[in-house]
Amino acid sequence: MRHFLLITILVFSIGKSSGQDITWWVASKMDDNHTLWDGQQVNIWAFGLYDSVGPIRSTLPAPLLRANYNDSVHINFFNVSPEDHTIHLHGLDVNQANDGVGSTSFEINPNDSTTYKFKASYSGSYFYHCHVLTTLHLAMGMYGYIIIDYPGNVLWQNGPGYNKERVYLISDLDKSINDNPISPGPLNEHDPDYFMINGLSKQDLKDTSQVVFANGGDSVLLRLGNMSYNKAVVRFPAGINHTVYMSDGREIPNAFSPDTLVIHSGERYEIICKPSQYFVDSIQVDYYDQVSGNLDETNYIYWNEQPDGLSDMSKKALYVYPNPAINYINLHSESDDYLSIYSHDGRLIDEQNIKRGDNHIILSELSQGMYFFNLRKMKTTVKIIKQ
Amino acid sequence: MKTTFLLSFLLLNLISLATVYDTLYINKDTAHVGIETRHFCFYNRTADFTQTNHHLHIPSNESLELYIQNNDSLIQNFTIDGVINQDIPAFGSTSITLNNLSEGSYRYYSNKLYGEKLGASGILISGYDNHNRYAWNMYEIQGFRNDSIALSLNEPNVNYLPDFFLINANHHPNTLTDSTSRITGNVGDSIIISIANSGRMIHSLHFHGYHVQVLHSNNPNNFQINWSKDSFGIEIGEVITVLLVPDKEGEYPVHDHNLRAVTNAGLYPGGMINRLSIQP
Repeated sequence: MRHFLLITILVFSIGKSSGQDITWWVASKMDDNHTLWDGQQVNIWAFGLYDSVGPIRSTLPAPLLRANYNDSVHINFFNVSPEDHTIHLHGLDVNQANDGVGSTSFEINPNDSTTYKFKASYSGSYFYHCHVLTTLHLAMGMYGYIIIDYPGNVLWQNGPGYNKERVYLISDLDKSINDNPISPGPLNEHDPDYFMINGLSKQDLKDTSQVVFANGGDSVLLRLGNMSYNKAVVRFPAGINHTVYMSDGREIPNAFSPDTLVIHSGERYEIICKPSQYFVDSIQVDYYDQVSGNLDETNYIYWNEQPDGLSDMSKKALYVYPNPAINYINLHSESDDYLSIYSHDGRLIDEQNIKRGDNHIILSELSQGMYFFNLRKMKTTVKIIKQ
Repeated sequence: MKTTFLLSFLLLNLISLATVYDTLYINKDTAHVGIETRHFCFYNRTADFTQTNHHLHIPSNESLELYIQNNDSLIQNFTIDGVINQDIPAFGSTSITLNNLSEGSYRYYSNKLYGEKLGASGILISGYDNHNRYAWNMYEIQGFRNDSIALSLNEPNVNYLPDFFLINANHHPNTLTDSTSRITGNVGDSIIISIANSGRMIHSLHFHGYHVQVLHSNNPNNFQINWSKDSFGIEIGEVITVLLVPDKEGEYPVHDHNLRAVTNAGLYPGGMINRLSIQP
């Protein structure tokens, strides 16, 4: 069975507050697997969430972690694997103790845990990844996104706004290493043969969870980041009406609209697109080998019109309404699943089974605020506002 | 009044014509990378072969009078793209004058196969007089390819697959004790770092702990000037100048984020890993 990683988030968070204490629970694992576009499965070392019953299945890429600008963030990190790991907070400019580099701070031994702390001083996109034997551990899949939101669906205070968001993480994988990480061979010879966006490739990127659904009048925020061993060249189609506003968690002084955007390993970008009416096209992502300069692969981010009556979480994946909600929320799922409700600071509030079709979720016992509804099978998290 | 004006004018011209002098020796020899011994060619400060290229600096509004001695038995060369391209005869010498360079960083190199590809490539910084200045020259090698070029003047017909990744001709952990690579400073310092890609592959650099401001690039297609970045790419032949103003103390790595390049002969950690050591 294919596992589609859904890190697409529908933006409904207008008015949420910042400056809170946020806690994420994260686990490192080395015993899960990932299904490639051709149906082959590979071993991955990866991060997953950690809930009241223990670590949840890890994924490639790792679960998206979000906080608000000015939040104080704690990451309770549990290493439930047989080797040392860390979390490096890539781009967040944390202090030395929280930098997640063993030689300058510390590593987390098997079955041990720690808490990383940082202040979310800048909105934008960042990565988290293991920084132990980094070449190998990243090749195995130990990376994911951290997003710091500025309240009000703007990129920064008084910055450009948006009403939809898509998050895309560009990466790659050398299957021979994942098949035999104990003897991976010379790491300078790492030679990716699978090229991914959000862990998916080729036709899998046509899954509705990955397609951008937008109409004329929408302002769609694209977050693009590159954790691959390649240079990614992103080619924008005519009519997408895009503007690059941010990179590496900082406003850029000269917002611009390039036909192509080169994203090197480690870089992140925020781009707002205001597509024309009836815009149906795709963004081309080319992967160039940094040593040979050769074009290794091309993937596409597909755009389509927003179907009438659907949220852009898509009919196949999941949709919820109303949101924000007061007493209840309707949740439509295409399969039986298991729902976990987390508070804004990551505490597990409730769990229940979800049946295929429509589900009526009572919210009256929840206090006002932001919650995250996680569907375990679908590996989907939706942000809910309780009023 | 008129006399005072003329004297001031002459004085200003004298100041603007101030010249600094420096010398480069083009030396070839073998040097160690890891446990291997490979052939290299460097622009040294002295006639003795040392495993690094001498970095040059021209203060603002001054010119550089540069004497270059070629200790190689082959014709060598001194090129700064768009500025100068001059051959130097075998065992010969030349003098060149560089002036009117705008503030920024430049890469000089020998355009001979047995020059640049063996490591003869350094950094010239123009201006930034009141800053602490560092130069990081990124250069990777496929060891046996260097030997082939040095011994036969030919490149082996095999895919380029570098096995050592050097900053100022050193690899990690030697970079941590190399005072030209490891940055030491204090919170609030203005530190200029000139970063050149003298290799054959694209590099991408990631700073831990801090963002840096991109000030200058010799690549007209670099669109990141004045951006604040923690990660950025450096195309082949590109030189980027960044400004680091540390806001906190600590020890932070800076490394190539193409993680193949943080290895020595395939083993991690190694290669292009550097360190920032910032005191209060």
